[in-house]
Amino acid sequence: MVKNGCKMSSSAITKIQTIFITAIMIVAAVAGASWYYLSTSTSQNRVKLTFWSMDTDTASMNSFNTIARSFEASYPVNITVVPVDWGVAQTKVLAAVQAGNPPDVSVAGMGWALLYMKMGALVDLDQVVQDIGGTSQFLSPSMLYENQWNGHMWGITYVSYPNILLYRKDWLATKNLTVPTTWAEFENVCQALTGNGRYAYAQPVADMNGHKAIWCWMMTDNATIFDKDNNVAFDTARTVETFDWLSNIMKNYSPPGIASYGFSEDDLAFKNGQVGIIWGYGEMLTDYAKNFPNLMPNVGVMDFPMKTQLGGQIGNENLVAFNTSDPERIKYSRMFIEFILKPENIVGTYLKNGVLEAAFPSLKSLSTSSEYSTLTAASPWNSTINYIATQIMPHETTMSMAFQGNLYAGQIEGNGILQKVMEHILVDDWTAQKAVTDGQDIFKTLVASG
Amino acid sequence: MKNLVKGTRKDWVNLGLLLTLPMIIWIGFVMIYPVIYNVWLSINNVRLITPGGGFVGFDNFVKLLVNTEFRTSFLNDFVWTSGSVFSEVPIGLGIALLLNTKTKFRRLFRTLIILPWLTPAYATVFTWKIMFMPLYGFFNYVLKIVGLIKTDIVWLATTTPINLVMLSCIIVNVWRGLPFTIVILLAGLQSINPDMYEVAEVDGASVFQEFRYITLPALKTMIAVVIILKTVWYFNYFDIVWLMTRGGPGMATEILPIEVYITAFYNFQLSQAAAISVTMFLVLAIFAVAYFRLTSKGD
Repeated sequence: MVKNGCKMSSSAITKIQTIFITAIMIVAAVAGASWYYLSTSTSQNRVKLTFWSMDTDTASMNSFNTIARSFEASYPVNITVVPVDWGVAQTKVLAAVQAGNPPDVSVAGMGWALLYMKMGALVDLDQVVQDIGGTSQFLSPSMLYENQWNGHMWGITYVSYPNILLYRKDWLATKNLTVPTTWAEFENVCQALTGNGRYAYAQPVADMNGHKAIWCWMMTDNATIFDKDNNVAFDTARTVETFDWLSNIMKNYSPPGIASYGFSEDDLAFKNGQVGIIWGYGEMLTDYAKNFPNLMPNVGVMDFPMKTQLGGQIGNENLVAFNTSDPERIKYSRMFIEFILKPENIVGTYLKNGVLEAAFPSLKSLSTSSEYSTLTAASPWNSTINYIATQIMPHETTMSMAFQGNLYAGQIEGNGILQKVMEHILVDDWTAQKAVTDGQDIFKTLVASG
Repeated sequence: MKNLVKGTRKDWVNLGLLLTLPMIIWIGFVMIYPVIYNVWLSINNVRLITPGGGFVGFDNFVKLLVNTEFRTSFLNDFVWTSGSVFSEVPIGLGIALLLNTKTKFRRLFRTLIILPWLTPAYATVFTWKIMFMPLYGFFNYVLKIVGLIKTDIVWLATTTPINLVMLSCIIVNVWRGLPFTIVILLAGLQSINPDMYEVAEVDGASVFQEFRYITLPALKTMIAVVIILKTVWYFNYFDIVWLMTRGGPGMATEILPIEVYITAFYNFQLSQAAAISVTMFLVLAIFAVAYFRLTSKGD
């Protein structure tokens, strides 16, 4: 009996325990769902915004957080700044938009604003542009090309990163060479610098910087992807000429395996003294000055040598506001973008904490502001900054946008089409004509598929 | 108290079902629903960035048949999978045989072989890519020292006459996948009755004959299971090739999982990507049936 009594007790207790645990799990699930709902909605009368930044370095994140806190001090808003790596940013934003949960404000790469606009994901920034002084404020037409469509502004450029060539001054001096300004001169310099385990030129091909480097050279021969009427016009004599010439430079004067080079391999080859001229950005100068002080005195900056015109590629970073269907969030998103563009924020915080010789202000009001003049005057890179701003930036364009904007720049970048064309020539031994014709077909398919 | 213990076996079964219902719903949501949705996508026309849609039947599958990129990716995937599997199994068997012998530090070696399995994919690829570099890489350095080459081999950019890029990816994959193969085959070796080898030795059998007539037949089923599982896994494998080459240069290493990713997230053609993945599913279903038949035979 006692034995039976014990058995009955333990089984009853087991049942009670089971019911109790189940009840706790249900309560926890409900509490979690409620917390999530409450945390994403307006609470305590403060609007919650998320800002996705592809500038994930410490200085940029600190700058954006400082600007966000400053904005929060003036408005009933809580802003969460989220770092999102460039390499996965476009995919993550698209997935977030499809899931109905986009950020409120985000950094956008070249042409990404029009890609998001095509999806109906953005709200226009016409009023913000008006408030900052109108479209005449933009320092480069490229800033309009990649953000303006059907008379509306869908993004605003906040900084620009001009592409440059870095070179070894000592190598040129040893061979009594001057800085080349034409393709023919560049080829002569490459020929003179290559040999004894050294190579003249390197650029990225395999990673997402590859299309920027290729576009730089295309622009120096007026080779485009879209013509003035926005029709695909990639397969032209000039494009074939550019790819033919550039691939010969890389086959003869670049390190073996150049087709597999990304930005880091390009940079490493220069630092290791293997290569004399590389494609890059101004921020590499800061890296060399800090980490390779012996190299720095021998590093110079030059423009891209021309064939028919001055050219190059400028990387604009833009701000966009997403259509979250919440009027309050949209209102403060636009206000936050305008706030970022104030001189004391973009110049006084972001550029001040950043790399002045790489990132350049986008608006006339910013570049002529006293804050910017003071910063650049005090910078050890003052002459380099002036050279890039006055001699290189003015003739650079955003990738694929030589004459006007197009809706495909984001996809062209993501698909790596220009890199694929070059890889076919370098790796598969295709002729330039065959590779360019193949590239033309890919562009046409891209446009036809919407 | 009497009411609490009143309950038949059926009541307990119902309680068990009730308690597991949340997990069943979750599994259905996370595993079964995406498969069904994927099939639905493949027979419609859905693009990520532009409006459109509607039932298109088998159009997406027909497009695949005439799509040269799909054919190239399929062939690449076949080379990648068969190259990885049929390198890994013999090497794994060889190492398992060595680890099965009574040697000093056997336990240490058995622990060390797990290391590639534990290393994250990114760290693995990062290290191997440095070793493959033409100018500063370890492999070219060693090959030059021993006199096998005079000029640097460009491992990650040579596709003719041999696709060294694909070979490099396979080498990395085999290195990473070997531990699993070794562990499975070693377990199989240890289940063979050692008396059989003693009898064979008494009968005058050579080492090779023992391997051929005792070891291999005993491991036959296990080897087949490893081949089938690895084939299914590697046919679907994304991370090693993506991290190594992103499917390049050109299309030299673009395997089907990478093509699905590019089609969906770079070309924004969701339905086309779904059609590719349904095709992959059907191909792998054949291997799944073979696996179930093999394992149920063992039962």
